[in-house]
Amino acid sequence: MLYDFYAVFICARTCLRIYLQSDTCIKYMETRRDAFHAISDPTRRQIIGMIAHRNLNLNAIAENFDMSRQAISLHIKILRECGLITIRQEGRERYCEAKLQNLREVSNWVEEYKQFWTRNFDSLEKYLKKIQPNKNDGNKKSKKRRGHSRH
Amino acid sequence: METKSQKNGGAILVIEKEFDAPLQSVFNALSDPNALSQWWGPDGYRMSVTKFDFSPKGLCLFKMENHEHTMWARFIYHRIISPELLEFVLSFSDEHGRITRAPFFENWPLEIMNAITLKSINGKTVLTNTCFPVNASAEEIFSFNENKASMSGGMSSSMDKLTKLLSEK
Repeated sequence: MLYDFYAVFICARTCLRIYLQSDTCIKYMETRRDAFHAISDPTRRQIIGMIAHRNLNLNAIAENFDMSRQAISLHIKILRECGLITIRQEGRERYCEAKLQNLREVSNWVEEYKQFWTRNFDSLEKYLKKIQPNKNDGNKKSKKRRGHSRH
Repeated sequence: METKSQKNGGAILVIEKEFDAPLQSVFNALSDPNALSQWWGPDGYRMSVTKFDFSPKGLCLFKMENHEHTMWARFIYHRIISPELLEFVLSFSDEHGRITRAPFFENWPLEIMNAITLKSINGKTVLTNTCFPVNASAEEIFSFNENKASMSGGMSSSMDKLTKLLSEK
């Protein structure tokens, strides 16, 4: 329910018309076309991974998924609208090609977010040390015991 | 039904860290608002939790402030299995917990899934955080949850390879 509320809110903030047709809120989410939207779906992530190294036509992509060609086609449409792929006509075939430079936005975020968590882990480590004075005492005791056993 | 694509769904970012502390202590540090305020957040910011509902779909709303700026952000919890699993979606927000764009970054996802697993190994705790942007209001987040187990090998996923490829260029 909370999510429904936020979806409606975001819609309302952005587009009152869509807000009034509340059942189209999800459509609004889909119209926010950026690289993050493109990769927010596991199927789309996989499609990008597949065509990153070589161009593929729709059939070749669809073969890798247990879903309809139509569904794959929709994902490709979204990827195209998000600027992550282009479609090239070669004879009767249409090939999907990755626009890797537009994924920079994603890789920049990944780098920032990784650093954020790395710093958080450092402060979590300090916090855990601080709340565990007994553990250090325990180490001292065990060293002492080992010392005694040598004598 | 699990599809081929979900099996290989993959993560965008997997971060791992070993802590010299028991499993339960690490879980508590992640799930107790007083603990969170002592370690979580950007460098140099004081973090204070103003709303806290530690349950699936529950909200944790918090303020982060330094001498110049005040920012708000929130977690929406998903699956919680103490002390092994904690999933939450992180977003910047306003003081009421409504999602906003990131204050300092033009290109930042509105919602970021963080799926944290904890494992006890020889008295130490290994934390693994699997992260990626989501549209939490859409159905896909729940399909992620159902297929979480299959995503533990996320580093070998196509998207990780791609991210690696980009970072090498």
